[in-house]
Amino acid sequence: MKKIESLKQVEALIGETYMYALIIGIIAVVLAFIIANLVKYQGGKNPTDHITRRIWYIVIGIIAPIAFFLYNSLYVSNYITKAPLQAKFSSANLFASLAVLGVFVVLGILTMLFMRRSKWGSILGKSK
Amino acid sequence: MAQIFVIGIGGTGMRCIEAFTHLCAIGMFDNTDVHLLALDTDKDNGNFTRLKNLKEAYIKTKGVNKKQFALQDTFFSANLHYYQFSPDYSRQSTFDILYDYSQTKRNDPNKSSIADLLFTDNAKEFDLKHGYRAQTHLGSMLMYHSILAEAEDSDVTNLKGEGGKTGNIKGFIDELANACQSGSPRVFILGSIFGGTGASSIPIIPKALIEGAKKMGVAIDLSTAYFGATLLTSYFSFPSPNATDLANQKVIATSDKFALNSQAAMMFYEVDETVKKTYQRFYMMGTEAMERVRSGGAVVEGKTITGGKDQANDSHYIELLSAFAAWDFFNSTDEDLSHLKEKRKLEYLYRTFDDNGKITFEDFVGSEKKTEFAKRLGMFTAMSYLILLDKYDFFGQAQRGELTRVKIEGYNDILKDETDALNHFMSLAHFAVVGEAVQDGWLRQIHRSAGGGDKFLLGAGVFGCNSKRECGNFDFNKELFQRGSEFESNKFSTGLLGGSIYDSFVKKFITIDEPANITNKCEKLIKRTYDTLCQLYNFKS
Repeated sequence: MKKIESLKQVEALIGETYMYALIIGIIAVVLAFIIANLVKYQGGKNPTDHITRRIWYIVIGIIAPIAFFLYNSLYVSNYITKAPLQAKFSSANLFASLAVLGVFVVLGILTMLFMRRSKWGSILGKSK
Repeated sequence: MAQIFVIGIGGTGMRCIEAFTHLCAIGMFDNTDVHLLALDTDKDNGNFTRLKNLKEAYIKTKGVNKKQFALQDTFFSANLHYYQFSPDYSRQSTFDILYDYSQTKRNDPNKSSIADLLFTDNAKEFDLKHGYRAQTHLGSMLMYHSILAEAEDSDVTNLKGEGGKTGNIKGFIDELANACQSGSPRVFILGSIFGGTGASSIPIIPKALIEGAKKMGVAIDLSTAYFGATLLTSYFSFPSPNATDLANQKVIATSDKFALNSQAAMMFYEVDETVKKTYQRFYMMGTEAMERVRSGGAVVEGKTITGGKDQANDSHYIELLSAFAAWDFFNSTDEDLSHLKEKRKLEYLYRTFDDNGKITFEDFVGSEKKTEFAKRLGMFTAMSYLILLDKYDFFGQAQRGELTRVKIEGYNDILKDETDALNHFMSLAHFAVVGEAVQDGWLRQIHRSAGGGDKFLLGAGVFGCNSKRECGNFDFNKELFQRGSEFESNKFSTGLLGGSIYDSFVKKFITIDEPANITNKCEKLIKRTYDTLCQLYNFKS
């Protein structure tokens, strides 16, 4: 990775970070989707398979933005040489990490609603 | 919608109706209204009670306090109407008391001389509550006149077997008369010819129904109906009575005479004009060896049980064969039967099994329908695991609304009584879980009677589980049908990534459309389960 020294470079980096946030959000959804499908339907009284899937979904939903945020703060921001530029990037990093969470939640819930009769959709829980 | 009439007589007849009811449950009588009449003198008989429990579970499964209909391509497809008739021997329990014999003999010996000619002293004095005890000459007369007396009795109201209620013989005759108005209905009679009640009733039943209808004032002639029956010869034995039992009971049917009884009955049927005139077809069946009768899986030893609640014999594959004789009769063409009736010809049919000792689907239904039978029985057995084992409890999940987690809604409207009834039926059909153990149901009993192992229809593993745990670990997705059989390929895989049978089942179930033409939710769920299993096991639904 190259050193970031100018405002123009930081702005380009912020743009890329948002792009990566979108991709990481999608990857997190795909990962949660795969794990949801690996959790078997459970028979018997009070099955908890959908709760297991929900827990996995929440865990991935927490880990993905935090990991994204930490990666940018601890690794990427080291390449930014000037403090004002670093400050600009770190606030953008926070928003990008929230964007990861946003993509994960919105895309996740929309696809769950769309695939309601599936293991993925079961994360939403019992319908009334 | 077809209407068929089935009559089971005596202890063996009850077990044959039991087998017939299981055929209805696996779906061998689609789109059919089945009128079942259970005829036995022994009201408290264990087999009679088991049949009553079975039919009750069947009817409740189809809907509690709901109008019931016959369906197609599903389990429990036949609409069952149940009737029963037992001559009342609770107060007048011997021939002597019933016909006032002793007094007649004192006052007018001429009148009683016919009874002296035909019946021994013991025959006049034994307790009729446990059946006619191989005294077929006495039994024929008593059963015939009991039916006529019941039909003539204006105090007895006409009860139809509808809405889960048990009908009576008047209701049965009335339904038969209605069916006669629009054609020639078929009546099949199931019973043994080696004992008492069955053997004595088979020859008189058609005539008793025809005459009974006249006594009821029904204007329709019931003799247009076609009649068929099983001639079920001796296939089990039981301990011989000791001298004390014999002295107490006066008359006891002993199994060493069963072969002789069968022979005598068949010789009579062959020459009797009434039998020849009324019946079109007889299905002869029996086994080479007479195995000792079992109850609750154990061989019955010691005391001779003449009847009552203790007489709850395990089921035998020959009873299933009898039920299939009825199936064959109801699936015969009208031309065949009308030809026999016109010519006043009585046709005798029989089927032999292969010498290899294995009983296959083809042995019951022939090559044309073997796949159908294999599919129905196999899928029904698979469904039983999904219902009976706690680890699956699929119908329980649906009823409790737990399927709504995948937005499968509406099944929580199913009444708990209906799923309980289905559970009860399945436990009578396959096995009942009692604590950690399993108790054999009908299917396991007939498997044992056929020699066990892989000698009977389904894979040996189906019958090899002896505890709840073993049943839970059984891979019924792969081992339902026998290895090396033509249905071995009817199985499904649970996937490479550690799937499970239940997981594969629910995934497929979700993709199956809900049947639109069924109103009762429990039946809807049964039909959808049937379609799911057919697809999983690669059968056409």
